[in-house]
Amino acid sequence: MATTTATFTLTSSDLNSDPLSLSTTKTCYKAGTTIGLDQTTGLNKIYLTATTNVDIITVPGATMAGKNAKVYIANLSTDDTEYIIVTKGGNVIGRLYAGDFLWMPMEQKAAHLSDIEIAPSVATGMWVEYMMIHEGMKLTGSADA
Amino acid sequence: MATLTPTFTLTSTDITSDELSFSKTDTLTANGSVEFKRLDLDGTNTKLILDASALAASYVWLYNTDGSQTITIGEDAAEAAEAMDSTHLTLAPYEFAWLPWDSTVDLYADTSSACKLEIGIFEKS
Repeated sequence: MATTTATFTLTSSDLNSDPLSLSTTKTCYKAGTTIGLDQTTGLNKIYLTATTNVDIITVPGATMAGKNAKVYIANLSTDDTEYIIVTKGGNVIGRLYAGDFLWMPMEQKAAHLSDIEIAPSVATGMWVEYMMIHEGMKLTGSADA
Repeated sequence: MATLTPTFTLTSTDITSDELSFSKTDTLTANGSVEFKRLDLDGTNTKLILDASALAASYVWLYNTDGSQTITIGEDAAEAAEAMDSTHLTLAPYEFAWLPWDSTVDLYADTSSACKLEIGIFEKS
């Protein structure tokens, strides 16, 4: 068991008359438990040079179905016009523009049904950072066996 | 026009041998309407939480205020069992999410028992 803690704060002094200041912290647990998630992809940084969809997070087999996962994705571009389109299981989640990030808890589906893909808006090169904290992955064989 | 500053931090001393500790801060501009509210979910019917016909692309904050219920967010919770996964995310008790929403599809919330979902919607334009 590992203990991973996600914290989010959101502030604004000019959103309305009451300044916005929220903060919340959550430990990442396995589904239906208070046992910490113990697997991770690690923090990855990739450079994309095509506008085609690429899988950044895959759910390879049935062992991950129904298991918890937490996903972080950030667009590290500094060009405000550049974005990535994030999809999960073929459904568009949204666009992350330069500097934007998302944090998304999810329940995994079996065999690639909840894979996460991204597609950059330009082919001139874009850095993207991502990480998944999860449970349930069992590697039982080689894909090229 | 308003400026939003979201900051996300992820830490762990034992998920890997290399201690995890990073933080990401963004500066966003919200030029449209703002909604910040708590919605009652009745545990029976899915509830429309993001209406693509009424809202432009937005940044969205979601928070499950309940200590025992799980809330699913998807394009239509009733279709969650179909082959393609139409569930966008799953909020465990007291769990939060921060994500962009393109306003191309409606999003619904579903739960198995009554609870409250907190949602902040910040239109980009």
